[in-house]
Amino acid sequence: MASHGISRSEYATQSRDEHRRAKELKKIEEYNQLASTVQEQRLATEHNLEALEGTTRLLRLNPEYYTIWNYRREILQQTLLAKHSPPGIALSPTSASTRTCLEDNEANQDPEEVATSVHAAYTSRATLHLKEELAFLLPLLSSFPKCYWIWNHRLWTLQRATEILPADKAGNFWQEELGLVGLMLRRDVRNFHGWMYRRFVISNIEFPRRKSLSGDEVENSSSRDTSLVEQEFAYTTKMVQGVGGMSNYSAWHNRSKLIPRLLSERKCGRQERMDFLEDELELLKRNISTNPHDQSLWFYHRWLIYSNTITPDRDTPNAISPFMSRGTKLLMLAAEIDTLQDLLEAHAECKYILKALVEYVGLLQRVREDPRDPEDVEEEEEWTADDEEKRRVDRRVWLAKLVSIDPMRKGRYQEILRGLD
Amino acid sequence: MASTLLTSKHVAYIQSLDTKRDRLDYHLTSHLRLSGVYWGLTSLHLLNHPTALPRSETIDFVKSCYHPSSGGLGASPGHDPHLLYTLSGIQILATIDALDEIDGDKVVEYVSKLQNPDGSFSGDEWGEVDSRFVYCALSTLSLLGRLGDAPGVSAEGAVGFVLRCLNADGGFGMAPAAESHAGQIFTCVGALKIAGVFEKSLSEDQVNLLGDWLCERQLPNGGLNGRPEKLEDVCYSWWVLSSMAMIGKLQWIDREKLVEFILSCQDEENGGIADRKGDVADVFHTVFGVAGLSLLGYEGLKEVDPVYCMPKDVTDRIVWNHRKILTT
Ligand SMILES: [Zn+2]
Repeated sequence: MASHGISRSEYATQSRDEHRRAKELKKIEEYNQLASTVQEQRLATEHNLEALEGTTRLLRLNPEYYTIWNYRREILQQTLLAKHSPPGIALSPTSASTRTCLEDNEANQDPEEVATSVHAAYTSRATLHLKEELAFLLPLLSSFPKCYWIWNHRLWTLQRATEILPADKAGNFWQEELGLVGLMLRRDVRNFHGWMYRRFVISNIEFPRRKSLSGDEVENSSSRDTSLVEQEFAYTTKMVQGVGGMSNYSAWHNRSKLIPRLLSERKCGRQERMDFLEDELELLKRNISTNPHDQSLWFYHRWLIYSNTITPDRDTPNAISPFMSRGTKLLMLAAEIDTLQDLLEAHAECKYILKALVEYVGLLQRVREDPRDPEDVEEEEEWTADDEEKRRVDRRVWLAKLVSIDPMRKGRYQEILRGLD
Repeated sequence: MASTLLTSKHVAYIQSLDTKRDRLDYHLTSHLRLSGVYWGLTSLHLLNHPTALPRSETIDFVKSCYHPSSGGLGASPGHDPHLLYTLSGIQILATIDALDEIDGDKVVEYVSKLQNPDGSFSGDEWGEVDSRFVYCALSTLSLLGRLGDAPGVSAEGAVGFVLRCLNADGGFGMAPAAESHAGQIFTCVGALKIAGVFEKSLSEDQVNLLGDWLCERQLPNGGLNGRPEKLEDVCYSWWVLSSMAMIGKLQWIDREKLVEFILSCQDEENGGIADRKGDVADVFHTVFGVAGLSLLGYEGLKEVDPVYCMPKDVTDRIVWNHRKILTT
């Protein structure tokens, strides 16, 4: 009903094959039989291990069947993860032996100690079952990395660890998960769910009791001991420097989201922020001159330029260096424009250089119109009406070039051209 | 390769969908069925064959997915309620002018219970949060004419959450700090449009950055992708294009090449549109291909509403005309 990448001719060949068709009909019968059994058990609110096993089999065949994930969670809560397991639930051998040993204890210990050991038994039983649940999900995630419901169920399982287990034991679950996300992102460096999931796992390690997935409840109470922002920033550095990493839009994106927090946690002052911005611009300059056709780099470059020139929001600083004076901004823009013009000599047909030039010269003009700060120590270069006219002519030339080398987007360039008149 | 839209093939294809019970796919996709009906019905309306699916059976099917206890709708009878399918059900009933067949108050109650304190919405009682669900909630409420007076719903809170999903590249992600993605952009821009706050929420710079990010999705073969460095896919003809239409930047891409790309993904023999040329067609890519063509002004198609992905005359009747009266 919503399929991707299935070849029509292959599908048609399969449909003509009698043997395959017979097999498919048999599969349909088996699947429907299983699905209706599980649905009937649900209607009868059966919460037992047999029903759980039914969901295991059904979800392996069809992990998109979200209702069955819901049912599975209901069963888990009533059985394996229940504080007091209902009678008749056969637990795995480990838990069974814990239980026997408990019963022995109960005979000759005082009630407080019994309560403590009952709790310890529950913790170790729950730990085991949570691990089993994660193990069940792992191969499913590998086969269906884009299925939202599996990721959801995995998060739910980890959140139960947070809820049920002592903080240190729950913490181990999240730490192990971080290792797994690392593996998944190594296999598919752009996996959307993977990156999203990584941020979620990280925030659960940083703020162990946060429960919603909205990412919004990150309290500002982050103490620097639990913060992983340095580690995550280093991770993006490693990602963008790896083979092909330069084109990893996801990694650059994550980097742009981490930096504001990184700098505030480092308690960077004005000069340190300026230095940081210069280092980032230098990193980009090196990358862009190696491959000026990579749009991921240009996205990041544009973020550096925009956020530090025209949209510095001092209350929630997204900028690296939000306190730059007008003169400093002009110098930075002029330097970037010079670099790009040099680069253009070597790559006259590169649309990204041309686009950036058009934009940054526009920004330069806007910053110039900002009121002058009397305390601004930066010497301003001479700027005459002739200079301004020359910049306008430059932009017209670049835009005309863009129309001819990137005709699909000519509507965009023509619109800017009209704005220059 | 087809150079025109094979309307009658597509109509026949959609009509045949419910008869394919001898294929495993049919059974494996029951968790999508109600959305499937919405995709098929919308395609048919845009193709100017609004009565090709029997009306009373369609209403009966929607009602069979309704959970009277919660007020939500599931994907098929016996499937749990979820915002995704609640929206599909309401879209279907709105399109065939049958909203009075369902207890609107109860549906509003279902939706309102899913809003979280931070303004976001969960997809269902299990709590998954995604900016898509804000769209589902606001779209459902507005189609029921209850956006302004749904008890317990904070439209302001919802807008606040959507804006926290806005990125420096002008796009939106599934949660704050998540990477921009065309599908998410459609739902976030759509949510802001439904709430009537898009214009005052984004600056001119932000709209230009968004438009630029979107128009860069067009690849040399004319098709659109959903994120940088990804492959083209017909469904992005909708997510990208509708977003461009909503911000008034449709003219920033090459119309002819995109039309050609969508047409090349048609199954000329059996009807339907696939994700890419030569792949198996499905009703999901069929509706987004047809709706994309409609936005591009392709001849003979009914006008589609880029905010709702429904026929424009329907949303005018239910939402926009009413709103004009309210604001003037
Ligand atoms: Zn697709």
